[in-house]
Amino acid sequence: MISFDHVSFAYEPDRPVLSDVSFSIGAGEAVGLIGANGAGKSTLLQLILGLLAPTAGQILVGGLPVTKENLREIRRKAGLLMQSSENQLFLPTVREDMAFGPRNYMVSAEETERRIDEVLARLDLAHLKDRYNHKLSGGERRMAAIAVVLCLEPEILLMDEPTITLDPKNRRRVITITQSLTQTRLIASHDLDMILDTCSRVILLADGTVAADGPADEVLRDRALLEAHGLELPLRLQG
Amino acid sequence: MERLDRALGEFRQMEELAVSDSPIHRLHPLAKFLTTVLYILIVVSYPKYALRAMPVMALFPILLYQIARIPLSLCFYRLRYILPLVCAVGLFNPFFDRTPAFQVGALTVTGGMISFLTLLCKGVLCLTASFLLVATTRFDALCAALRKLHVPSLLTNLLLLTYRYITVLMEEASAMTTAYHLRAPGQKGIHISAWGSFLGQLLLRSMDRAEDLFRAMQLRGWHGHFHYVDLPSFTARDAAYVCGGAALLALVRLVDIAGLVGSLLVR
Repeated sequence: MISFDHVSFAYEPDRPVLSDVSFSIGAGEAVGLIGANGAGKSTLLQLILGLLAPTAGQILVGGLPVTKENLREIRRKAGLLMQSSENQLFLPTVREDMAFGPRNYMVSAEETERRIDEVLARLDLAHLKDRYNHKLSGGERRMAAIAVVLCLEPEILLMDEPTITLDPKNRRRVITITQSLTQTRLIASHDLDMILDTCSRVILLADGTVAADGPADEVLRDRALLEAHGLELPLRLQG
Repeated sequence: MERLDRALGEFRQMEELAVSDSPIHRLHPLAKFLTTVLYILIVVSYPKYALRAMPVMALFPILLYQIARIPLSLCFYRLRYILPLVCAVGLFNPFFDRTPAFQVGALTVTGGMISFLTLLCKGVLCLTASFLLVATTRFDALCAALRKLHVPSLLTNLLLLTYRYITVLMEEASAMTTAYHLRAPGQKGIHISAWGSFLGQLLLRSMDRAEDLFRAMQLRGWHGHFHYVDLPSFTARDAAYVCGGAALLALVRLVDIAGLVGSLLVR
C-alpha cells in the first residue's frame, strides 16, 4: 500500500531530514513509526500525502506515485490524523467537519449523511454530531478528528501522535478504536506502549534513516537499540 | 486577555444564534439578503434632512427582531465598538451647516444638527439590519446565497476564509496575551515596547496555524471550491417576504407617513 524507494528529503539543502529511506507497507498492516524528536516522523507522513515533495527517490501510495496529478486520488485513499485536532477541525460543528471531505469528493448529500451516522455510531460518538467544535473537550476533539478522517473511508490511515495530550481514559479509547480499524495504519508516536498495543511492526527512524524495521515485539523490547536512539522501553516492559 | 476571550466567545455565539429557530431564521438566505440590501439602499437614499422618516424606517428592524426572537439590546451591545464610529461620521455637520431650521424654546436647531442626527440614524439602522441578517443566517449560507447571485466564487471564498481566519487570529492573540500577562503581573494591557514583537509573533503564529488549517482542508479534497451548504429551495413564502418587504419599503419611501401622521395629530 505504501512504498518508499530510496527517498530523501531536506527542508534546507545542507540539512537532510530523511536520507535514502526505503521500506514498504502491505495492505492491512499496522506499523508504528518511532524515533526521537526531529527524527523525521511527521515529515515522512507529510511526504506520503504529497504535502512535501521528496528531493530524491519515489513514493508509491496504493500503487500510485505521489505526483501532483495523483494527489487528489492519494488523499482520498489515505487520511491523516493530524497532531493537533484543533487544526484538523475548522468548521463550526462536528457534522459539518465530517461532511467537508466527502462533499469535496462529490459524495452525495444522502451518502455523506449515512457515512456520518455510521462512523459516529461505530465510534460511539453519536452525541457529538451537532456539537460545536469549540465546545468539545480535548479528548472529544481527538475522537471527532478521527471520525472526520474515517468519514472519507480511507484505505490507509496515517496517525501523527494520536494519543498526545490525552488523559488515560481517552488514550485507552483511542487505542481501542485504533485496534478496531482494518485499514492499513502507519502510526507515528512517542507513546511506545500504544505502539505495542496497536502495531505488529515498527520502523525506527534515526538521523534521517531507518535504524530498525521489524516486529513490534522485537524492536520495542530491544533496550540497547531504543536507548541508542533517544528512546526508552515501553513502560510496561520496564519491569 | 479577558476582553479577547469575551470577544471570541461573542463571535462564536453569533454562529449559535444564526442556527436558532424562528420564522426569520427559516427564511431563505437569499430572501433575507435581498431584503436587507433593499432596506439599506432605501435608508441611504433619504435626503440628509429627512430625520422624521427615520422612526418609520426603524419600525422594520424592530418588528423583525421581535419575530426573530433576538433582543435589540443584543445588537447594540455587540456593535458597541462600531456605533461610536457611526456617530463620528457626521460629527462636524453642526459646525459646518449653521442654517437655522426651527426653534425649540431658546435652542435654534440648525440644518447641521438635523443632518447629523439623520446620518446617525441611517448608520444605526443599516447596522441593525446587517446584524439581523448575520444573526439569523449562517455565514456559509450567506455565501451560498451570494453565489446564487453569481457573485464570483473567488470573492465568496475569500469572505468565508477571512471569517474563519478571524477566530484563528483571536485564539492566537488570546493565548499570547495570556502568556504575556502571566509574566507581567499588574500590567494593564501590553506595554508599548512589546507591541512590535507581539504583533510580529502573532502574525507568524497565526500564519502557521492558518497553513495547518489549509493543509487539513487540502487533505480532505479541497481544491479551491467550497461546497457551500445545500440551500433550501426558494419557496412562495420567501418570495412573499421579498415582495411584501419591497412593497412596504417602497410605500414608506414614496409616501411621507411621518408627515401624514403628524398632520393628522395637528388637525
